[in-house]
Amino acid sequence: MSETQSVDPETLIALAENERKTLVERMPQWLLVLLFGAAIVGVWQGAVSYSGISELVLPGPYQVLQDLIFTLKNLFSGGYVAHATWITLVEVVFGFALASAIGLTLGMIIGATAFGRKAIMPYVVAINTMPKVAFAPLFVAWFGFGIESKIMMAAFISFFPVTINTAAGLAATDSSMAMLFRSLEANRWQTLIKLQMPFATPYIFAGLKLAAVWSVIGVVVGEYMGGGEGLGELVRVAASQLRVGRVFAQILLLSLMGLSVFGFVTLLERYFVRWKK
Amino acid sequence: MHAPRPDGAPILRLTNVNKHYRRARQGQSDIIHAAKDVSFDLERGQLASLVGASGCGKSTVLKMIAGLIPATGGEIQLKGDKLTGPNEQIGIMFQQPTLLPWRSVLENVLLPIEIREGRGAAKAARDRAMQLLQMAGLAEFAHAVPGELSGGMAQRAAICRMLVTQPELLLLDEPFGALDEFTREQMNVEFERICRSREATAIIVTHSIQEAVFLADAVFVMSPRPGRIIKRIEIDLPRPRTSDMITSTRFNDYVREIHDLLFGGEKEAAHV
Ligand SMILES: Nc1ncnc2c1ncn2[C@@H]1O[C@H](COP(=O)(O)OP(=O)(O)OP(=O)(O)O)[C@@H](O)[C@H]1O
Ligand SMILES: [Mg+2]
Repeated sequence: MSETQSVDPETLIALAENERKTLVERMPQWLLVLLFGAAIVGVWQGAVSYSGISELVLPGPYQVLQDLIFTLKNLFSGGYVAHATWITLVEVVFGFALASAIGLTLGMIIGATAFGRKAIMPYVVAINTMPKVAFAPLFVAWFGFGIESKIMMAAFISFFPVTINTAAGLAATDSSMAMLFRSLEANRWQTLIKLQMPFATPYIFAGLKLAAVWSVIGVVVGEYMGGGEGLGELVRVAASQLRVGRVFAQILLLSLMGLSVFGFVTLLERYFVRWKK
Repeated sequence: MHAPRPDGAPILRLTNVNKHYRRARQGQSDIIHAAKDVSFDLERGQLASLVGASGCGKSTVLKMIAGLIPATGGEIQLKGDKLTGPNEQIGIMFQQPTLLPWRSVLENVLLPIEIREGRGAAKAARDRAMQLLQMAGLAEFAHAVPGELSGGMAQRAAICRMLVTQPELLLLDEPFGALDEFTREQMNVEFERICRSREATAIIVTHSIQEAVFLADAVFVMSPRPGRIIKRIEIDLPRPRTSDMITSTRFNDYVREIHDLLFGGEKEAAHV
């Protein structure tokens, strides 16, 4: 007791609080993430070793790691994985660009004109409620087995969030700023370009981020349906050969691709929306 | 610079201006008279202030003069010509500073020129805008974004934006409402100086009776429901106005008179 009396009160309070906290609350987050990941891998390994599931259906973590290393090696040495990644990347980038262009244009028409709001908007909403991937075979029929059908599929799936967010952003314009522009006798074009569009940029970027992720989905669906030379085709072939480890590794590449496009959009957003704290 | 019109028309004339808003409430619509038979003249260089209880129709009157909302009756004339919409001779400042957050302070100040005369003209007017910012004590913040300004600084930037096109008639809706007493007094002195140096005519809406008297040649006292101007009081105090006038008997007589007009009626009603 005499010892604790010499300790300053704040330390005592901190100690008391620490005692009340559980072990998990006191551990740093990165450690927990690692531990949980390791636990999953452990369970996975255990399931593969003791359940009698065939390696062909569910490979163990070690097998997957080897497949991942193989895939990455192939990618960086310019093998067929590199070629497939390049094809898919081109499809994603063009699909995303097309979705952005269509979405921005349509969103501006809907957000800035009464005709767009009243006549076009219902159709856009109707299209969005459809299960869009169901159109994939049609896109193959219309645009063939080349990269065009994948680009169109990606654009078709991902133009919607850009459209809606652009329209919503334009409609959200601050009413007192709109009043200011009216007092300055700004015409509709000036109001759109100098007020409504800049005001809508945070909304637009939220839509673009969704579109970045969705265009990867569109491309993969297009490749599953229409073949070609992309990563989606590799996944399809590997799966049909029951090389599940390869499938995992290739899906990881696809995720990284989606993440990169997403990251690129985020960088652009940082630049264009830097006024928003 | 501008010779008075030969016919001697005042710079601003309101004749029986009316405004009612229609509100649909639970099926039946009721009508709010935000302005009823508002009539007054302002001569060039006059500063007028408009005081009245919250919701009596001050902003409505100002927006009608600015051509932002149509009057439901009566006529507004600027230098003898009927006003039908926004006019470049009129500058308005709203209750909020409404600076565009994605533009620098300087670009915000130049916005009216950019919209009315194009980018080239805005570029050519940079020096003038910088002078205004200097005068408002914002020279260092010309290239900052509005997010970096305090409330009072944003308000001052909005004043610069209103002044940059050198409008002849200035309309200010509680321009200093968000400021502390001290800054407010400084702004009042500065504002009076600017208006006199350009021979600008101005209407200032304010909640503060003291501010109304301090700034104005004429105070319009408004009463609510319907929004009417119940009295125009000419303020006969020497210009330039100085802070020590606030303690003078004359100043305080004006303040009391307006106060009684605004609140006296209610007191009597309470006694009944
Ligand atoms: N767009 C509108 N639609 C319906 N009623 C309105 C509208 N704008 C104002 N009013 C009504 O008109 C009356 C006057 O409003 P106004 O904004 O002119 O008041 P104010 O004197 O400026 O008040 P404050 O000092 O609080 O700013 C209020 O009763 C308000 O409810
Ligand atoms: Mg008001």
